[in-house]
Amino acid sequence: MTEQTRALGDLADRFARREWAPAALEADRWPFADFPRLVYERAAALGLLTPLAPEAYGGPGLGFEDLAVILRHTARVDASAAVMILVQTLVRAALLEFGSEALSRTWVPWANETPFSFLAWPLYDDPEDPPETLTVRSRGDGFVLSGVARSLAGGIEDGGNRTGAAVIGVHEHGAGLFWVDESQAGVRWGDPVIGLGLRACPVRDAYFSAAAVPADRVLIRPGGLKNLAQWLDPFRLMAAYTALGVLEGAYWTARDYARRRRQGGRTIIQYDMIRGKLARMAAWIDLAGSALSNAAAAMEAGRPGDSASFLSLQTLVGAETARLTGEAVQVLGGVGYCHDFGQEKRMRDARRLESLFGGASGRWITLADRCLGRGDEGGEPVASTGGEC
Amino acid sequence: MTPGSEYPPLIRFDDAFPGLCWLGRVRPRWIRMARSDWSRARNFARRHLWPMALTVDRAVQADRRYLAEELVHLAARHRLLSMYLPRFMGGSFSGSVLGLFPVLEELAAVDPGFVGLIGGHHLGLTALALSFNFRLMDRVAGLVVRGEQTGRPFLIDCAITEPGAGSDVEEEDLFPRADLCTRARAVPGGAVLSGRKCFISTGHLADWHLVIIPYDRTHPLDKIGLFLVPKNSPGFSLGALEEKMGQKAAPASELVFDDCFVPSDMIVTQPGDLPPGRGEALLHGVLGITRTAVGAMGAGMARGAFEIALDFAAWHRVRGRRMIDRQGVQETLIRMLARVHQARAVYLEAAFALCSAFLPAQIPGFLNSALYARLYRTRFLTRLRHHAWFRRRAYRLFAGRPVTDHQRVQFYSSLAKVTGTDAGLANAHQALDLMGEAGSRHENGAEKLFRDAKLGQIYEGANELNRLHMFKHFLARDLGVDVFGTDPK
Repeated sequence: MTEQTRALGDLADRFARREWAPAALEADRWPFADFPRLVYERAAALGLLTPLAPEAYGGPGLGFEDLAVILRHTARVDASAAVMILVQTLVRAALLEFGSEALSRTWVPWANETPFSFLAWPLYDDPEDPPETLTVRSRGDGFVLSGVARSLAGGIEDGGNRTGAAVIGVHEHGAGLFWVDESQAGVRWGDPVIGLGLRACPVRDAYFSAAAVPADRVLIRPGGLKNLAQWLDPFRLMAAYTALGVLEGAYWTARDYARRRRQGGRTIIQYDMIRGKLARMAAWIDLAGSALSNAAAAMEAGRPGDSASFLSLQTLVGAETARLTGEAVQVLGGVGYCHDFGQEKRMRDARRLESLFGGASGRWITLADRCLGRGDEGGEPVASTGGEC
Repeated sequence: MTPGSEYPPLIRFDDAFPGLCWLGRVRPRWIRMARSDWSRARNFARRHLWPMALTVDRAVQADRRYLAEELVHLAARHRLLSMYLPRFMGGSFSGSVLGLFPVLEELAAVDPGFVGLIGGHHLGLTALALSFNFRLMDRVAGLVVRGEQTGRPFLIDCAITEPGAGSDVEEEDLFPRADLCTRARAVPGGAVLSGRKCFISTGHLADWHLVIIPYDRTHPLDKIGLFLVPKNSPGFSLGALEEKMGQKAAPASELVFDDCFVPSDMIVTQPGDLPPGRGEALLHGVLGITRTAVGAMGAGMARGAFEIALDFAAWHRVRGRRMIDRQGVQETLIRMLARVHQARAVYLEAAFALCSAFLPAQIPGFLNSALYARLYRTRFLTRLRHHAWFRRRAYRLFAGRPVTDHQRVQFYSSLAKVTGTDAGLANAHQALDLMGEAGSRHENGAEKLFRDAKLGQIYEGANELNRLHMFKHFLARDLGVDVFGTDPK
């Protein structure tokens, strides 16, 4: 880790304690409480909201290792905020990668932009198995979209800001990725979706009635969505870092509580069963931290194949975090189950994190395909993307 | 433990097979009544409860001070507030004790929050019943029944947990070491209560509160006091309404006692009423019933998660194929269903253990008749059961069973609780795994079940405590192990 990254981590940690922490529980009540816009504006001003945005676009121009550090420190305090950072970063990176320069120039810059434009992404869709709820027809150079794009995450327009979204639609030639914004004719934004966790990263559906999308708003043409799956891999690693941060926050809260709480005449940290639970959490944090660091270092050095695949890391770290945050609630007992203490929020957030880029069961199918090939179902075996499978 | 070991036998036939031991006593009529109760509950849950479950959950999320009074009225209209009260008390209990637990499973499969709400009320009635104070039991039963008839429901709750005393007030060996903040003081004409109770189910909706506070914190079980405190009593107030992750229909309340006077006719039990050991017997008896009930609830939650996942897999497509056509999904679904059956088998065994110890499996036919209901209200029988002699006699019948009967109840009720609630959460996790983002959206019901299921592992004694409780009652007795001793663990 470079000195710059270390310093960024300190900054992210201080910001998390001073800014994200006081706002986290109230923001978790969204849409029944206000969205903490001002905290996000302050994060944006410090370069913490879109760290990968290039300097040419007014961004900090940082790398994935920096993003990982920001996400991990933020998620210890509020996973919603971390995922919002992930989404805002990801959307802008996708616009730069797949969009026209005009589109990027319109949407990527953030410097001096107030109010901040919260952009949305189909965060819970699996690009290897896109939903078929939004259909696409060709019309001239462009396309016409009809149907619904579900669970678009990150977009919000309560402060008079612009907003836009990337949506996945399915054409007869295959799935593609398209850009729409609030001025788009034929698009209606749905009511906020009430979800299990990550509530302060708002989610809505978008309804399309023959909405025309010109060619310059096409990010990935129909049939090319497999490129997105591969491109998303580093963001899977970022999702794993976010999960690790959630678990660290849960573990520290559980450990500190166990040192204070007395039952049966002694502090509960003296009981074997509590010690066992905490030790399992600590051991997993150790293991996951090490594996993720290796993967991040290999990626930065341009050798992603030297580490476990990002898909494996996202799947395994996510699953174990979802399980262990439940144990972390258990350590706190009834208090852990109540909103005021923040621990049950971590359990919900960790569970929802598992759905990033597609649900867990679909991800195992993808992993099996990558590691084992398609077997008797025919077609070429799919090459593994990292480590020895 | 090898077959040839020198250790005493740990498994006794009656302990291993309580259901089998009971088979000869079960009459076909009991099964017909249990089936009828189950059908009624199933119909109620699907027609009346299901349309309200998600709406109420959302309403509480929108306004954390929201109280689900519409569910209380729904329960009253369908006579679920008196479902534990026998007909001779005016209640709606059919008489089939064994049938009560499948009813709870059926209700919990649709809305665990609703079961938590009425569960707080039934916990109070159970504790009241096992105090053998028939005078106050009759009075409360009359209010509950009249409330259902008049459309003004009457609820009670049961307040035992305190800010510094959670799991340790659920375990007799830990109770004396619990950090209690409440105190009961005997005064002329009654008692004065001070302190706070917390996480009390149904608290903000209850009309009367059954409060458990010892007169002497150094001997809390021997000097246990149970008090009935109406909600408008001077010196009593409602404190915080907890914002829980799930089971949002059931409020979890703080009760505050500030020199709250309780007149002697509202004191359910106090030192001297019953022989020594009554505190422990009360705790065991209540937990034996309620933990079995929570086990049934857990099986219901496991089933609810399975049904939602099955429904989703039947129409949703992954990689161009219906999920349910994939063997991996079929295997996951059958694992979920297997957990339901395992949890159900255990809570039924626990029910048989209860019946072999102190609960009648069925209210005998004559006692369930209209004639007996009239006789019950005669002055003679009323005065008889309100007499102190009758109370002590009933208590001795309950507490005087062989120790092994009570140990069996403690083991099986805890096993039911742990098995059922672990199954509930495991199935909720798997439903979310299968459903992906759809599972995390409120409108599909799976994420609500996930949030609801977690509480099952925490209340009625955390599952970790229940496992130790099982060890104590089935293994430690023969191995000379002091499970909750003073040495660091």
